[in-house]
Amino acid sequence: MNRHILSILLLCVIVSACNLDIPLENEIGGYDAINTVQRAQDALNGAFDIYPKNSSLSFALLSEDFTPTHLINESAQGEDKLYRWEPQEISSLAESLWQSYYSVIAQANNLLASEQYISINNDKEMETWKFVKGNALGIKAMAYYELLSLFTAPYKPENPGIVLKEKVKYEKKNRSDAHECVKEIEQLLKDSYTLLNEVSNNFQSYYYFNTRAITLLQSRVAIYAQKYDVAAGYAEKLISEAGYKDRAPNTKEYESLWHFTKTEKSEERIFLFDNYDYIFKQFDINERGDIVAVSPTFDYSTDDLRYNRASFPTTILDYQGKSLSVCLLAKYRQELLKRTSMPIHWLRLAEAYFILAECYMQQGEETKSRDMVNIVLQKRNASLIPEGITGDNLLERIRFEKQKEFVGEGINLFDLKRWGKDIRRYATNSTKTVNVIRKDDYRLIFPLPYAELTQNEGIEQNPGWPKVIR
Amino acid sequence: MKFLFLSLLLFSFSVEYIQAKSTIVEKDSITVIRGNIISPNGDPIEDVVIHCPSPEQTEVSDAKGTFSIKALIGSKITLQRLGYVAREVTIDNLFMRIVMAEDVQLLEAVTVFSSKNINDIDLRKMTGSITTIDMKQLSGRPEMDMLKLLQGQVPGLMVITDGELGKRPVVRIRGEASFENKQTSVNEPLYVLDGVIITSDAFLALNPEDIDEVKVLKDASATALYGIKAANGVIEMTSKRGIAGKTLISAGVNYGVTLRGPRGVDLMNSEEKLELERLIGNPAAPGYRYSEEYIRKQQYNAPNLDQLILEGQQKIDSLKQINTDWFKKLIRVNRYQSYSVGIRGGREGATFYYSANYSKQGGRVEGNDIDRFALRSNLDYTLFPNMDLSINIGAGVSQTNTENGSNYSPSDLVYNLNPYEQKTKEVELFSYGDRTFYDLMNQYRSKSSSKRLESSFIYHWQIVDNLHLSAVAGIDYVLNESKTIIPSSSYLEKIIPLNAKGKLEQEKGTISNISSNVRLNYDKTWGNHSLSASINTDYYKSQRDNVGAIGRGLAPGTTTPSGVNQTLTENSYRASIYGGKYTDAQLGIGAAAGYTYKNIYEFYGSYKRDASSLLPSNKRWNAAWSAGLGWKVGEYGFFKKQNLVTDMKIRLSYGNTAGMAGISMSSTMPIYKYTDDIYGDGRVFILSDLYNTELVPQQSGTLNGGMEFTLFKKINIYFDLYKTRIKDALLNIPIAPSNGFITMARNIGVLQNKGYEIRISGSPITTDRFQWNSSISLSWNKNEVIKLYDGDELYLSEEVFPDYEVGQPIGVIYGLKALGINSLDGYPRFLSATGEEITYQSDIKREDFSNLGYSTPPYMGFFNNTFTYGSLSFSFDLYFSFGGIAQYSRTYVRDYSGVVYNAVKGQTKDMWFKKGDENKIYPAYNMNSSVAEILIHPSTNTVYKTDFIRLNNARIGYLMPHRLVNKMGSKISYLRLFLQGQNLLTINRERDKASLANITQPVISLGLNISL
Repeated sequence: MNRHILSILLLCVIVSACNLDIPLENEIGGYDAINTVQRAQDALNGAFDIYPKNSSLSFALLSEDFTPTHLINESAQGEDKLYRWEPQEISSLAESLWQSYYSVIAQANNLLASEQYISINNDKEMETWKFVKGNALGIKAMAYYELLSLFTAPYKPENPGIVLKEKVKYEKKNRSDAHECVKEIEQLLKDSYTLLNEVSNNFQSYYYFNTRAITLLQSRVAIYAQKYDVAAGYAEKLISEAGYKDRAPNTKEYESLWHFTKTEKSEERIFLFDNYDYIFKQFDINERGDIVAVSPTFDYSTDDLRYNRASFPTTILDYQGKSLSVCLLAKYRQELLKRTSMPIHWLRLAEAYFILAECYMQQGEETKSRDMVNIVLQKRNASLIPEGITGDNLLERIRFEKQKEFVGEGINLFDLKRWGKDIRRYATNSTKTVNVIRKDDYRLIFPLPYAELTQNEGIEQNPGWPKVIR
Repeated sequence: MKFLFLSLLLFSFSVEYIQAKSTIVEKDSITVIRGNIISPNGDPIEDVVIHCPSPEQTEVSDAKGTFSIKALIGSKITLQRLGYVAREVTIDNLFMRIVMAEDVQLLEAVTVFSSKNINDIDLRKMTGSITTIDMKQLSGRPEMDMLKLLQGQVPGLMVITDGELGKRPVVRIRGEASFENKQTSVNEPLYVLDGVIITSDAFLALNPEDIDEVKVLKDASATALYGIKAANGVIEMTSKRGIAGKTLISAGVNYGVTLRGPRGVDLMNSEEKLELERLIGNPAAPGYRYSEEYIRKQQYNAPNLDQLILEGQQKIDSLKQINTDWFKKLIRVNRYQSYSVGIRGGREGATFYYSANYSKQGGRVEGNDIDRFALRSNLDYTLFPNMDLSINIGAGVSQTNTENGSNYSPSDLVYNLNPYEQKTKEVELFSYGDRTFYDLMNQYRSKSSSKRLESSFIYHWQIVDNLHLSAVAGIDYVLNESKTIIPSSSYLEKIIPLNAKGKLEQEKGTISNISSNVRLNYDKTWGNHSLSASINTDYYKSQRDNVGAIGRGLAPGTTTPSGVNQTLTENSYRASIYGGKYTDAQLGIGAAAGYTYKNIYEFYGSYKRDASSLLPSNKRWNAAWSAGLGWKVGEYGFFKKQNLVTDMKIRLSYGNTAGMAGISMSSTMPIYKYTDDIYGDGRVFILSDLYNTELVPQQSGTLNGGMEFTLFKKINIYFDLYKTRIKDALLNIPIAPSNGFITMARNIGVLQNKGYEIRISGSPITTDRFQWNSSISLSWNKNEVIKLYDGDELYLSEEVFPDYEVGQPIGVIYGLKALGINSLDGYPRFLSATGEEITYQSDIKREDFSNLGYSTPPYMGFFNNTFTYGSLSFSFDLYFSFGGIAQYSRTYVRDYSGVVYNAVKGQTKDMWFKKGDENKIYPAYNMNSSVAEILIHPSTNTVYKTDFIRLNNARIGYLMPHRLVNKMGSKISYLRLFLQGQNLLTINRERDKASLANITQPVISLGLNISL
């Protein structure tokens, strides 16, 4: 009898242990996984977190912001090659950017497609969802805009644009034309604005978009598409809603752009990514100095509020042990020349003044234009543009001042390309120009990644770049 | 059948009779009697209990069937073993050859109890391709892991090991079972210990001394009982059991030394290196920095120029005096030691086996080692005459210490450090920037340990005569702990802010596997018919749970997370905790049946369905089935009349198994995960993969034909032919990145493996005192892509040649036809498909690349021999492989930026430096980067054949004569000494210029085994 009981017991134990519907414990599965506003918020964080937010330094390296020091030869990740615009380095940067932007777009699309599953039970949740959806649309629009600026020629409606993706699905889609792309971005931003406009101030965080951020983006996109009236409209709106309260220089306020705590308020600050990676670490070589110095052409005066942050004067030793005076960029460092990280601003108010100034120039309103730039310069305690400068000289000066204001922040590359300006390359530890990337150089239009060309056969490579040979 | 046994018995008696006549026998004195117990067809029988009544003693035969006993000539001894007819023999000789016949009736009755693995049923032997290895033959080898022991023992089992201590070997049974050949774990076989599925980590941690027998299951009808889990084959192990009778205590000590082994590449001495540096002209290297030409160029207007030049010359001369042999300095001769104790015994109905083992292996770098302690207890009880229960418990602790951690492996450093550099704390190296040698070493300390507890219950119940039930339930629990400390004094911490200096990484993880299997067997024999049937249900659940912490700013003197600075907020320094829990379960039900007619014709079939929790519920259930035929030609009456060819059997089987080839749930449905990052004030939640709703499991169909027979009753020949076709083969392949993801799992094509395996084994020469056992094997595997659903070629990378091509195997090495180095510009030239010269400016096309060969050698084999003469034995195992190629490592050829590292000997002579340098091997050092791209590709000049023959193992053993043993103490019944060498010699067809990691280091060891 015992043996029967034993056997049956054993069988029971074995059979009862069988269950195949095992809940996932650190992953969540299913089409309806994003079903609460909290999850939607977490998924939004996902899209923001994977944004290529360290790219601002690469963009700055490609622009005219820096002159290299001899230390650039010791750069670990090919920064020297990138500085020289070597095609291979551009290709690998382009590949990683293309992938990152499209993964942001995919995560945003996935979040937007989950709307049908999200349960919204009260006004508070409704508001949160509006905030999340507005941000998802906004981040998608920003990714599209940066893709379009980097991977296509300066705007012409018929130019080939980028691949527009509506949903998370395996597809082989072709490039839409630039006009369609801009239309799509405008629509996304418009929808985003509408949603964010219905959201209260409780959601105020510089790590996410608000209506000001969307307006500035709208203005950027419009000036990119050469719609100067539209761009001016958005910039004026932004300035009239929340422009500088006064023109008086304010050291504390400027400094707080580079050194701040999460809750600190600043009228200049609009949007920045939550990114405390010390992204400048590839640029500074073991306390011996940086691989690049701020271009001496900017020549900040010592009274200029930007003097320390944009061109911190110091000395570095060359290989013969001789000391060289250089001005280093301190914007990425919380404390000057210390290795503590600081996120860089992606959108800040000063840009609106420069966009507006540029639009006024296009509309022939030179005085208004000069005045806009002078507001910023006055704010920075810098010397103003004198009235005697007019016409093309004024335009050049405005462009120069914009580069000077945004040195090291990456946006200068987008402008240089849009303006159709040659990009000078300097010799190490010198202001001597060794090479020029002409405005029609093929490298200004980044190449599509190889994998895109091979796995999406219908798509065409940008001119000048190697095509698939097989 | 009976006639056969009778005749064999008669035959054996006659042998004994002849022996009795031929030997002079001393009577009336107690002497050491040695003997050899064999089966009717000459195979040695182990574990036979030999009992001698006076003087009272019990001995057990070893794997070669040999035993020794102290007895009086003319007295009687009894021999007993399960499954054999017990015998009583009168001692009439100092060396006895005793034949024991299999007990046919008993064999049938006890067959279900013969193995502790309940899936190891006789049924599958009818048609399956199974290789069995007796671990006794491999015991005492200085190896800490099972896989290295199995290398070169089984036809069709490929084990590729690496010289690095503690690194996982690559294991394949009959080639790559999926396109996923880059990830080592995906195509790995299933490991089973006493019927319980264990992880590959657990398998690697087993003490080889505890294993009695290993079976390698290769074809579909052999593996069918395991279902879809066994798509890549199965390695089944049976642990040692107790034996009823006198308690036997055995102990072993093994002490070995790992030698440095061959050097790999010959490197430059200081003089040649400094000259190369001067020629290449990079001031980072001293050969140029202190040269006259550089000083003249840099300091042309210095007033003391001559003085500077002289100082430079002196500096170079002093460097030339130093010639450090980094190979000898860094590759340490290290030690291996192992101690083991085993106790076997029990009485009828309750037997036990206990063992303990401690082993320690030193690493290549001082202070680093692995040690392991393992315990095992296997208990068998007969509860009722028809019911028995076994309880196995194994426990083990293994610990890896890295006292002296470096971010560079010693094998890299051997090739990179310059001969003029030294092991000092003061002088900075030229090769590694501003570091001294001590800044390369002692960078971190780490300790990892693994504690295992594994236990299983095995139960057999003979319900009625024809029906029996067996069940197994097992738990395998592993606790892994690891801790790494980077002290604040480490070079790497130099650039870290003061409050963040010092890093701690600590992780604890558990793996628990629960498995169960219940099997009901039915056997019936009537007339000429014999039927066996079996049904089973099994369940397997695996759970991994881990938690870890990483923190910075570790307070000096502390080694736990409480010592880290938790106030750091910056992402790269912030203290973080992480963890995860993963569970998967599989449920299976299956049935198998076999039918034998006249003991000549055998038919076998099996069907099993398995469900996996990793698949969405609509794709969860997958099937594995097989069918086979066996034809025992040797059983025909006419066949039995001759002695030339006996025991001939022909097998044929076909089976089909579904498999997921490592594809996870996130490939078939949306799976989201929380990452370790934070954004804003919240968590980060992302969709982890682009799912493919059309994905289906791959199906592999295996056709296997085999034949085995014995020649002259001495030599066993085994031959197997197989062909496996994998349809809808799965792979993660690149997709257009505009989809937001860069890869997606897809069913991409059809893959095929075919091959043959031959093994010839036996004892060609056997005399009274001398015996030669030998086994030779050759196996060939051809892997081929039969079809790709998306065109004829599949590209995974940016290369112009495909990764997979229809008609070609996986692992083709494509390359260019080299034309050598152009003497005018120093750039390499290649030949295009159209016969034109390719320069660095040409576009290289797909056609220009041809198939240079295969990275996986298709032919492999071994030749293992044992010679026994009296108490001396000598054995050697050769292992060979041929048909593969590999690319020379170009790492040691230095260009402008690489010249700070040491270079391959002869580079100065063979490198192109100036116009007119003819017949050079190495191109110019300052080439355009697009040429460097071409050079990465293999070419006809940069590949070599990897064919080799290796003396895997050579061993001399000495069984101490009894009169010597006697002097040492009467308790000792058996004492054996052996000296052995592993990897002593490798003969390569072409000299291997790959990295040091591919070189197997020789191990020489001395061992001692004692039985009490």
